[in-house]
Formats: sequence, structure tokens, C-alpha cells
Amino acid sequence: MDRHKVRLLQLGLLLFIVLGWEFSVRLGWVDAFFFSKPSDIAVRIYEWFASGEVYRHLWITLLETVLAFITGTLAGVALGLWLALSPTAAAVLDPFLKALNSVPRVILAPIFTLWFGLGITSKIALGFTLVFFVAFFNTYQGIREVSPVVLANARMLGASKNQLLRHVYLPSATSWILSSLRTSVGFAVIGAVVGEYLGASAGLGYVISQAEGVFDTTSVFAGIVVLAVFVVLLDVAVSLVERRLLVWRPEPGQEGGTV
Amino acid sequence: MKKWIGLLVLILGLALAAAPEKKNVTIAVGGKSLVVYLPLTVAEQLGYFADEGLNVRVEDFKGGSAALKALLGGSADLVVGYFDHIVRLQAQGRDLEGVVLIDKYPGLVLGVRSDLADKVKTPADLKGMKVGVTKPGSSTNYFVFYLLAKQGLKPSDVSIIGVGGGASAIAAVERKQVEAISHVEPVISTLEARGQIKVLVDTRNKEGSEAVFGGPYPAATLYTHRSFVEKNPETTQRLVNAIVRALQWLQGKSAEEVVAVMPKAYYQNDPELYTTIVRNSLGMFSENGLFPEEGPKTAYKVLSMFDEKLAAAKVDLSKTYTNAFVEKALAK
Amino acid sequence: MSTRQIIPPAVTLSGVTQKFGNYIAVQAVDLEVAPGEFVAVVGPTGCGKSTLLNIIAGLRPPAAGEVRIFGEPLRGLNRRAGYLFQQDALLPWKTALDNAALGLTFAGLPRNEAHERAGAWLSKVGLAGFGDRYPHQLSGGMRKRVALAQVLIMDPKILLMDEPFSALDVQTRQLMENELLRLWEEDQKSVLFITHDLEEAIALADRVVVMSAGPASHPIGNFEIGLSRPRDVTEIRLTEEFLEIHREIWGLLREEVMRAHGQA
Repeated sequence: MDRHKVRLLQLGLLLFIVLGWEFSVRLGWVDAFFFSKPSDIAVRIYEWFASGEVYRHLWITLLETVLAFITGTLAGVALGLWLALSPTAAAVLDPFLKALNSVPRVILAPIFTLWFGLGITSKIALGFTLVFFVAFFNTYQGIREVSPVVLANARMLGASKNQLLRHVYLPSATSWILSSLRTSVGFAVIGAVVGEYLGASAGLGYVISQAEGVFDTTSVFAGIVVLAVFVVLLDVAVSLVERRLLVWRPEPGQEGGTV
Repeated sequence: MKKWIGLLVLILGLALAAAPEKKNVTIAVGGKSLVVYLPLTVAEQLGYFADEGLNVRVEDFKGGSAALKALLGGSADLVVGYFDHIVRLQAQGRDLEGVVLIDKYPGLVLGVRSDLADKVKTPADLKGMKVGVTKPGSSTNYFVFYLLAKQGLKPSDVSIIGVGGGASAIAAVERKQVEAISHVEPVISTLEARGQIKVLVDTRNKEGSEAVFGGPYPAATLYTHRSFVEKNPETTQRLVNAIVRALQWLQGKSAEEVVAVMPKAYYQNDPELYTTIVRNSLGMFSENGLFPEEGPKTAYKVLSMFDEKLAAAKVDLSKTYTNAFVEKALAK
Repeated sequence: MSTRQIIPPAVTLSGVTQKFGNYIAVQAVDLEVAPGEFVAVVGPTGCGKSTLLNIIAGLRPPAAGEVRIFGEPLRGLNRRAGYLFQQDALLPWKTALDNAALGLTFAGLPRNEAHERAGAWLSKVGLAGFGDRYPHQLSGGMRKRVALAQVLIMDPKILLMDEPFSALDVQTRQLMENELLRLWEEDQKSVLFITHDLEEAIALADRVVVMSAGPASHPIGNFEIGLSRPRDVTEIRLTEEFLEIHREIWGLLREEVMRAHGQA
């Protein structure tokens, strides 16, 4: 894959979308009231950052995202570990977990507000419910996919149960867990923003909700763009960690080695 | 010497003055940027809450009922919302009480689509048509029913469609999904500015409201559980002080002067339109925060016309509000 | 009563039967490996060779029959055996050095010492300097050598090998076979070596056991290999004695291979 070519195509596509949007609005094909236009959105974003007013909201959303991400991942990995290594527990809890995961988070939002109040906790809780299941399913799968040969080998070499967990199960599951982290980050943001959108006094979701209330479509889209960039940055951060921790894994499509 | 005596007096005075029971207060509101709740933002922006030694956090929700749920669930201390909710909840046995009136008139507007303006001149002409409201069961819904009843029609004579609160309401009218719309600002002025509707009935001011309801109809109110008021009288007083001060500040101000103190985010999209909306709405705000006695009666009358459960329940209207705090605030 | 201490066989299987569900893999197997003996087991595919190894390793108890290790009944994992698997069993997330040191790490040896010994073993198998590479950065042959070091570093009395070199190319395979013999000569462990390659079996072993085609396979032939040691696997294949033995065993084996293919 030629990276330069990919980048060029990406750039081209982006330009196409942005310019197409801009001109559709300017030519009157698309109503600016409902869609705004890229030039206005860009100006609004610039104003937000130049005046610094957006930093407070970004910080709140970031805090909620990170905390939801950390708590959800830790809990999901822990439960995934337990259930993968304990088939009885897994069988018992399976329907409960499936039921819980099927609840639309939007419905949970007011319930969490009731339980956790209006501060960041209820937003973190929403993000948690999304991150948790992703981390859980990936850990569970990752552990169950441990190579039986590697497992047998470790056992023959004298590994205790704890040592198996530490040296075989966890590292094997790590690549699954890490790949789930990148999805989870996006979900953590969604949870935070949805929570803010439905009832808050600060945060990116709040800003978007407010803008909606005054028909400020430009700010709504500006908020969405900032949010998207925010998620991309987080994703890059996670993938850097992933690369560092998975240095032992061969690149996809490349097997065997040199010499 | 004089300086020390002065300081002593100051310290004593501060110590003896009643301190608020709760310094940090959460107020839930369903749509903080809505012009019907403007005085709340005025109080916030001009620092009136801070002057009263209060740290007020306003939590914004996607609608009055969501804000109310926050109050009932215990996550918010008070709500700024429509008086109707107080009446309805009193009927359900919840002891809620309004402590200061923000909007003396409800600001509900009935508009007809411009292309039908010559056919529809009164609410009765809406027979058989589709009328958009924020959502079924809301104040905008009952407004339509009341107008129809006044002209001898039944609720079933029209089709009520929930069109939501924001851009979706605009879209519903522009896409001709409804023939008329019962709504509040900023939807009404925005539709007018886009030439989409003609206003038929307007309760954003004294004249329009009296024509429809025969008197004041309390709308946006600061309210909470009676138990909160009893446990935190000083805090409540200070909140009311701030709101009353904001209401008084608004008196005699031009729309431009008012817009100048609002957060830029509220109007940056279209400052002219926002100023128009404010101008159209200035007549709605209470000048002093007092609940007029007939007000709650009118509200109850209108609501019980269409809500049988409400009509059956015995509601002690005197419990739905108190002017005690407002009177103290005005005496200062 | 003799006062002489009789050293029991390293491995004794008596009437061992193994089932997977309703499928009988091996039935009524009697097998012995004397201490210090190198036994190769050959047979067509699907004849349960690996099954036997897993039973002796203690990874899975037999459905019937008895397993004795140095005379004592086997319970649970066979602590005195090392197992070289057919597939890649190295931990992909550990370096060659860490992999080689793995058994020592599990035994609680301090890191420095484990690494020192592992480094020595890597040199022994010809991988000096490759300690910090990950398995995916090594060729198949190199990985097998690390696996060899990983198993031998624990100094097991019994060595179980499941077609360890079958995935390698011919040259590398012969190199590894010589390597194995060289290391084995040092202390003469008891070895049970599974392969479907008859030439390999004869070149390496003291004795070759032929298994029948499955299901319910069992040993049907037992051949002492009289070739002298030390041996070079490439050269020994060309000798007359080798060819003679090969002809003899192949006669029996071919039938089983045909039978296995006929059932396939």
C-alpha cells in the first residue's frame, strides 16, 4: 500500500466533500439554516479557540471520556478474565449481560442522573456502560482464543495457575483488548457527549445542545467537527500505546522472519 | 480608632446576618437559552446570584419534563419551568411550590402556514387540519385545545402532531407536514422571518393573553419542593432576590440593551433575529415576580378542561405558590 | 530375591485406550521406553501418535489402561517430561531469551540467573545473539531451536517430541536432527519421538515402533535399530544397513499407510 497515494486520496475526498458542501449552500441548493457551510464553521471553530471559551468544555468532556474509558476498561477486562476462566460463571451470567447490553443508553441517561446527580459522574456512567461491554467481550474472546498449544507448553514447563494468567492468558488477550481500546475510546466520548446533551451545564455535548436551542447550526457543526478531531486524536494516542505494547506481534500479512 | 470600631461593627453585622443554608444551588431548566427563561440568564450574567452569596449552577435539559424529573429525582434543587407542572403535580400529591413568577404570560403563539393564511383566520377554521405542537400533552398542545373549545370545537376536530422543539419544528412547517403550529420562541419568530407563517393568536404580551385567557396565565416560574423552601428559607429568599432584581432590571430596557448582556452564543448566529424575538417577548416577563391571584385559577381551569384526572383531583391552589419571598425582596 | 536394583522403564503404557467422544483413537496399547532409550513411533496419519504423547505427558488421562513413569503411576501432569510440540508453542510475546528461560522463570529462579542459563542454551543450539528477537522475527528453524532450548533447559528425564521437524524444509530438518542427536548424546535422556517420516525415525532411534492405522490403533511392529552411534543423519541414510532396515519396516508400514488412505 502506497501511503502517499492513500493520503492523497483522503485529501482529495475531504476537499470534495467540503467544497461540494460549501458550493451547494452558496448556490442555494441546500438550505444554510439546516446545514450551515464549511467556511462559517471554520470561522466559528477559530473563534472558539482564539477566545479560549471552548477549552473549559473540552476539558470537561475529556475528563468524562478518560474516566469512563479507564473504569469501563478495567471492569470489562476483569469480568472478561473471570468469565473466560470460569465456564459456570459465564453460563450463569450470559443472559443477564446480553440483556444489560441491549438497553439503549439514551434511556439510561435520566436514570443515571437520578442515581449519580447532574455532575460528571452520570456522564462517566453512560460512557462506562458502552466501554465496559466492548472491553468485556474482547477480553473474553481473547482469552478463549489463547492457543491451546502455547497453553499446553506453558503447563508442561511448570506454570502455576497464576503464572498461566500472567504469562499466557493476559498477554494473549492483550492484542484483543488493545484493539478494543480504540473502539472504546470512541464510545467513551459518545457516552460523555450524549449525557451532556441530555442534561448538563458544561461540556462539548452541552455546547452543541445549546447551539441547537438557538438554531445556531454553525455552532452545532463546529461542535461536531471539534468532537470528531478530538476522537481522532484520542485514537492516535491509543494506537501509539498499542504499537508499543504489541511490538512482538507481526504486521498483518507478514509471517515468518528473516534468515 | 474609628476604623477599628467600623471593622468590629462590620464583623458583628456579618455574623448576625442570616447566612444561606445552602451556598451551592442547582437549578434545572428545560432549554436555558429560550427567551421565556431569559430573566434567569440575566440574573446569572449580571452577577445577581453571586451578589447574594450564592453559587448557582444551571443545568440545561432537553425539555421541561426532563428538568422536572431532575427535581423529583433529587439531582436538582429547584426548577425554572412552567407553572402548569406545579398544578399537575399537586394533583398527584407532590407538594411543589412556586416562589417567584418569571413569565406572567405564557408566550404561546398559534400560527398558520402563510399559504393558507387567507383560508384560516380563526382557530375554528383549523377544523380537520394538522396542527403541530412541541409534543402531545404539552402546554402548546393544551393551548390549541383551549382555543378550539372557546369556539365550540372539540379536540378531535384537529390532528395534533408532535414536531419537537427546534429545527424539526421549522422543518415540519416548511415541508408542509402541518397546516398550523402552536409553539413558542424562537421557533415562531424564525418561521415568521422566513415567511412561513402568519400569527393568529399571540400570548406573548398582556393584550393577547387577556384576549385569550381573560387575565394573566402564569408561565415560567422558579419552583421546588415545599420541604426545600422550609429547610432553606434564607437560600430561597436570596434566590428570589436575585430573580426579582433581574425582572426589575428588565423593566424599560430596549431589546438591544437586553441582548447586550446575554451570552454571545445565544445570538451569534443571527443577532437581528434574536433581537426581534426579545423585542416580541419583553411583554411576557413579570415586572416584579408576584403571582397574581387569578393566575393559578386560570391555569387550573384551562388544564382541567382537558385532563379529567386533574379535574377530579382536589387541588389546593393556594399551595401552588407563595408571594412571601417576593414581597420581602420588593421591600428591600 | 535379587539385591540388584532394577531401574524401571522410563515410560510404561499398559493396555492404554483413549477415546474422543465415541471415537476410539488408540486401543489396548502396550509400550515401553527404557531409560536412556531413543524410541521413534511411526504410523500413518490419524493413527493416534500424538494422542499417546499427550497421555504420557499427563495432559489428558487415558480412558482405560495404566501409565507408569519410572515405575510410578502417573497422576496429573508429567513433571519429569519435556514436550516439544509439532506446532509453534513459543510464547509470541516473549523474546527468544525469555522463551528459553520460561521454565526456569516458572520455577521461581531469579531473573538474572534464568537469563544467564537461557543465554548459554541459546548458544548451545546455535542462536547466540538472537536472544532479543521475537518469534515472528525468527525463521521456522530458528524457532524450533529456541523451542528445543526451552525444553532442554529444564533437564527433563523424558523427552516427548511430536513431529517436531515436520514443518521444516529438508535441509533445515536434517540440521535439526543432527543437532538433536548431538544434544541427546550429552546425557542420554529417554526419548519418545513421533514422526511419519520413516527415514527420520530410523536415522535417529534405537528402536522403531510401528502403529496401525486408526481408529483403535495400536503398535503392530517393533524394530531394534542396530546402527552404531554417533550418527550423521545425512550420511547414515546412504548405508546398506540403513536401506536394509528401511525395506523391512516399510513393508509393514506401507500396508497401514494404504489402509489409512483408503479410509480417508
